[in-house]
Amino acid sequence: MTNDTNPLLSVRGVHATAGDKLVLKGLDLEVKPGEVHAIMGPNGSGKSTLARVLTGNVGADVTAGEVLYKGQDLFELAPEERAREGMFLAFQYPVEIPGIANSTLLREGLNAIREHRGQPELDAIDFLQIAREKAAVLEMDPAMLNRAVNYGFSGGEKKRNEVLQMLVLEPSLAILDETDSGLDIDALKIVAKGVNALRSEDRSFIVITHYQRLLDYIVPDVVHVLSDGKIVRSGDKDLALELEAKGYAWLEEGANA
Amino acid sequence: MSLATAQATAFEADFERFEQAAGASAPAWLHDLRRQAMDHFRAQGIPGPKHEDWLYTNTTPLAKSLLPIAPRAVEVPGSLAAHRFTLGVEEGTRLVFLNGRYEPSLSSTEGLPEGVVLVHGAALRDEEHADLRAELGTVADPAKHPFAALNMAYLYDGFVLRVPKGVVVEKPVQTLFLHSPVGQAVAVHPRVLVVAGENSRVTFIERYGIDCIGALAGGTCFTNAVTEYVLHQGAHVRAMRVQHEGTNTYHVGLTAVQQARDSRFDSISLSLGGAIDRNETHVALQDTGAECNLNGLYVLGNEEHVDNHTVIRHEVPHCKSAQLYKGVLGGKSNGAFTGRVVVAPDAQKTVADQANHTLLLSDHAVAETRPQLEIYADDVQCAHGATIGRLDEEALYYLRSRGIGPRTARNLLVHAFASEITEAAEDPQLVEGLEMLIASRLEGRANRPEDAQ
Ligand SMILES: Nc1ncnc2c1ncn2[C@@H]1O[C@H](COP(=O)(O)OP(=O)(O)OP(=O)(O)O)[C@@H](O)[C@H]1O
Ligand SMILES: [Mg+2]
Repeated sequence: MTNDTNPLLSVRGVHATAGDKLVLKGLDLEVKPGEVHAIMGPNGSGKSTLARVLTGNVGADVTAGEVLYKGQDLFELAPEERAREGMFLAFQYPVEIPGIANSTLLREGLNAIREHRGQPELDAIDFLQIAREKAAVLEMDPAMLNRAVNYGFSGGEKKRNEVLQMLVLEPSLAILDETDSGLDIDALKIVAKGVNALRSEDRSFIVITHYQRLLDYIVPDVVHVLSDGKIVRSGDKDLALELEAKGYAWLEEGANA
Repeated sequence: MSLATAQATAFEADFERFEQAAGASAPAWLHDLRRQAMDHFRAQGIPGPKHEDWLYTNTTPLAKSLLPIAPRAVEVPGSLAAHRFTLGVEEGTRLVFLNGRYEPSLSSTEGLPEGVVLVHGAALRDEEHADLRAELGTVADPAKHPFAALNMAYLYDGFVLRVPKGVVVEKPVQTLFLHSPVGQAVAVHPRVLVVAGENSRVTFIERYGIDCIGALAGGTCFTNAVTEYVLHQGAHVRAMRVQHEGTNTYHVGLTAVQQARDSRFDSISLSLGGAIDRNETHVALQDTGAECNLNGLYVLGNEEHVDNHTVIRHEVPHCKSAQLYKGVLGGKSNGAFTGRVVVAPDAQKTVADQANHTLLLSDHAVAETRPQLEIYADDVQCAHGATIGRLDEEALYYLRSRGIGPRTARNLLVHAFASEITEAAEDPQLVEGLEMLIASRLEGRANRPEDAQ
């Protein structure tokens, strides 16, 4: 997709370390409003680190480069400010929080975001109605709302719960970090349906995945390959098919050529 | 620790003044009781730093300021709304004491089922209740506990609650012991006796607070409370104790429980800070099938110190005890827990569980934990565990990534940590009442993010 609108997100030359290790080594990425970008790449190449750099720099330190989000310096914003500005991460490993109800997390988050947007706070009843509606889209048992956040959830339930949060919070840029892994084939379709329901002209997605199959359901505008901390190849959705067939090794040869 | 001569003289003089002034209108049995208790106190003194049971609490400030007994409150508050006294439960019996004296204008003794006996105020000091002479102190022995002795020496007001056989008291019976500032540092010695008859049921809530926090500038205050529980066969008592007198106050509280066959005692103690808060619970499981579940939560900031000290005696076979104490420590606070479980030689089939978990909100807070298992029987199941941790950074990140600010995120996690204790109250109104108290503590004077640095 080519258009002339300003990018929603532009990542320029980002270097970042996780622990003591330099993980991102000069990463560039530009996402325009309405676009869906898929990021694929070998284990340990830095995909989740990129997601953390974008949503909060927690567990990752940026050593060089810059990121503009909605035209502002992203690194000036705290994690909650980024969320209130519409950034959302569906975690690869959703955190279990015993003692906090799923609905509490969602309501606190949604109301903080609404306050930031100048919208009135939702009371418990209105909130619950929204949450129930979204749960129904994902064919989730509404009882999940009363359970502690991700606590004792199955792997697939956790992933679905991440998507539920995305539907409730209605982000402008959603990053899905391997949301498909752990989902059975029916759940995958339901989750894809949820994502597609959110797609719109001014909402963008970064979908991190190892499997081309997801991209049959969430059709990307651009596919990138992240390898050793850099985007080494970008293409259209056919690139994913090619990767599925050939693996990543051929790319490295290509990149070195 | 014996008192320095000058202090001792002042202290003795205060006691004499009390006996001849405020405490004078008392029958002979009460004067006797007080003087005998004072002898017990003199014999023991204030426990010093070498006393094993007082390892974690420096009693010097208490010894230095054996404070004069509080005078009558100058001003009686018009309402207790500010204290959120009712813990969400509006109806039922409530007894309010101001500076150690029963305050009828703030109290209500209605709503008790027939047969339940409540003795308080002047009635307690009546010739008619001479049998209290033998009854008080049977569970909290003044000969073995200096602060229990001191409390009894200053016995003036308080109350006795007797629930007869088979009676179920539906609504909690609540008490509030309030300090009303009088411009100088003073002491109060609240006293309670709860006798739960065979197969009776009652929920009893004690709260300790201050009428107006700012007004303590004239000095601190010292509360030395003793609550005795006698549970007859099959009785079930739920006890809740909330201490929120404030950051500069001294509080020594002793809850002493005696349990007969198949009785059950469930308690929740919430400490919301203090310069010194010694929170002692002694339970004697005296006949088979008796069970106690002690829950405690302490939320501290500043330079506060809370010392939880429990002693559970399994005197016979087939009794059960469980303890769960949790601390949330911010600022430069210090939270200690000592849990002693004594299993007598023939107390086979004892089940005793003990856990102490601390959440540190700052690098300067200190947690201390000491399990003391003295097991003289061989066929027992005893376990203890302790953890000290910090807020889970990944959980904080997760919450913040949903738009929740760092302060709210922290508070949510602290509430999550505390929820195991608050939920032990079961009654949703009480659970919510406890949560609100914790929230006001977290959002109020201490444990703010800046404390956590
Ligand atoms: N705290 C840390 N300390 C040291 N190394 C770390 C730390 N966090 C991440 N790493 C390393 O950084 C590299 C990139 O990790 P990242 O999670 O971004 O990979 P990924 O591309 O998401 O992999 P996967 O496909 O397996 O999810 C890995 O080699 C990982 O071991
Ligand atoms: Mg990853």
